[in-house]
Amino acid sequence: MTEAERWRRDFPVTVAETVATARWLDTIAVEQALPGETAYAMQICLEELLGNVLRHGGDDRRASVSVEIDPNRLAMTVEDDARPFDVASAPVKHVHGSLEDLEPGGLGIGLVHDFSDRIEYSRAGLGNRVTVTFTLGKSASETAPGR
Amino acid sequence: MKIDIRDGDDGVTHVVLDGRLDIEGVNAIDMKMNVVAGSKNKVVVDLAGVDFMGSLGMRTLVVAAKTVANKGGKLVLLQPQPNVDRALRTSGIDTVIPIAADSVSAAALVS
Repeated sequence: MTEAERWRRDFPVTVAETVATARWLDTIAVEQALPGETAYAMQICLEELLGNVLRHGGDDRRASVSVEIDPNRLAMTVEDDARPFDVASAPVKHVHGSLEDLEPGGLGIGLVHDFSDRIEYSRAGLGNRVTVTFTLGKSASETAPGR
Repeated sequence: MKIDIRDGDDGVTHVVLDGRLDIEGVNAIDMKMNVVAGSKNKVVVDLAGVDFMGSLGMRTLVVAAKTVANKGGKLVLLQPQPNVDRALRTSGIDTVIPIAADSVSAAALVS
């Protein structure tokens, strides 16, 4: 079982399609018996990456999400045709200071960094291409008991 | 996403959320959260039924907590599921909005 498995979904960037894509990812996670933390991390990254396109990308944008799983890692690639935005190099915000001084929002890019093991950005495919990679433990692809 | 708002005899308002606090969930609860935050001073947001939260959900909580705090009140979060808890703590939200492990300590934190 060393061959990678792949899935891909293309869609217009809308709230409804973002939700539908999240459910599609959940189905893959269940079918592939992915660890709960990996499934959650995929969902976090998906929402943040598509959310950026929804909020800042302009109207009538298209996107694709593809997932590739091999025994050791899961790679999720999100492409969109919005204006160039390098999420891998964008400033990361975490909360610090007081609630009074905190500006709501802007935490999404930090979550993508924190919940993935690697982020790669390039201008390719539809325009912006972001690949987030998650390391899989043995439980995702091997169910043999013990070590 | 479901939202249930209960006013307790102790003056504490419990906001019980259930479902995915994703982009769709946020749209479903934002108005009611704004009303609660604008009118109540002791607010406990019960997250035990929330199985997903990203930055959009956190934004909703931060806006509500700031609104309550601006009136001299306090908002706390109660019993997030492990993945949601990790997201809240990774982002540092727990440093500005307390996270309580049980309803007794949540009520104490807002009083």
